[in-house]
Amino acid sequence: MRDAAYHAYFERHHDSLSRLAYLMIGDASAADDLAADAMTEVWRHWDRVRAADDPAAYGHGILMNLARNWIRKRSRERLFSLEVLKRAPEPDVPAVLDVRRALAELPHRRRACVVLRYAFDLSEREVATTLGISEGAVKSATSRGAKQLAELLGDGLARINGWEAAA
Amino acid sequence: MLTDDELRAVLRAEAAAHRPDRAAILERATRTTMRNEAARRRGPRVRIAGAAAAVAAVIGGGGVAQWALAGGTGSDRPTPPPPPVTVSASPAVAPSASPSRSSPSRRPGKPTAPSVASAEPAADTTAMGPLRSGGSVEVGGKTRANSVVTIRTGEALTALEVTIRLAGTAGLVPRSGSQQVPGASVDSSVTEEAGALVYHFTLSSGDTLDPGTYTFYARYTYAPGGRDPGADRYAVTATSGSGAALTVGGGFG
Repeated sequence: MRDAAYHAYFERHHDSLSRLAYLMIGDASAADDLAADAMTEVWRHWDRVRAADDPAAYGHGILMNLARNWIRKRSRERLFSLEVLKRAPEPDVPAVLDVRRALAELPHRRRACVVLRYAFDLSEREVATTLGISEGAVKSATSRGAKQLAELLGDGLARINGWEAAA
Repeated sequence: MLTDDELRAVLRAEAAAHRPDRAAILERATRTTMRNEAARRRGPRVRIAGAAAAVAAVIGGGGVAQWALAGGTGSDRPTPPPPPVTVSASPAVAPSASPSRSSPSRRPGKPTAPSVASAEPAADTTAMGPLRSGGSVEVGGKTRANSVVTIRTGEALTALEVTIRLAGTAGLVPRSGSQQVPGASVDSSVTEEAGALVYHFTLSSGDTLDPGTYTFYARYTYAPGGRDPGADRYAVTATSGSGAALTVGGGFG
């Protein structure tokens, strides 16, 4: 029975776990790795996952932690590599297309809230369960994150199309 | 400054642009699970073996999968058990003379459910048109085994139902069914009908199976002393991409 339930969980959630990871870390192949690692963790804690009010949120929460650790590890490594130079801002890049780069500028919690609310359409309560924070914290991080992201993307849009920014 | 709706659209498009690689995710999850199992020999092995089996059931094929399925849950063995005793493995290989023998009178739509299975599978035809099948028994211990149905299809299938019917014998207890059907969603169930155990596997409507080989496992335990699979039967009803109704069936040796 457990096998079948885990199987079903995998089929139902591996896709969204990977997409979530992709938006959180911006790297397609590492996103699949994180989704796989989250599924491994889901199994290790299967009893708790199954007993959880929201098993999907449990898996997404695991993934969010893995994503944060991945980014921390990555930035530590970057300090010692030349990649930081390659990542320097390139003025001619159409920023409006670089959603991932804009997302990467958000602090972890804001990014997590914006992605879960806007891209995955979760309710504030579901996001709170996923991240283990209060609904109030979700509300404020989402609103700040959305504003910041909209500005980052909006600037790019304005630059490219030569629009006048509305006062 | 983007509006909320624009932001939503942009983020959704970005999420949709990513194409998760299901096979890669499965491969890594399986590998990690197996490594964990090796690392904690003395740990809760039963659970890990279960995880491996579950993942293997999804991933299909491969030595790891075979090991995991043969080992099953509850095994005390720290190392992979000896290869399963295959009582009879006959995925009929001989290509049939006529590539397509579909009878238009048996229009499918939906596979005719248990009635087909409970009726005598007519003359145990293991191959029909692009569909071949075989039944075998994998013994996984003194009181545990899997009855395995392997099908191979040369055409895409738009509907599929596999029924494995095990005659009631001493101490027969089901352990769930599982399957190796990569890339498609298959529902499985086990019911008891007139003293027999009946495992049903049904391809979700709307799903299509690509040409390939697929495996279905009826897992069970039985009383010590062995079990005679002589009265067990399987039946497969399918609809090919061209609309032909296909029915095959057979025994397990």
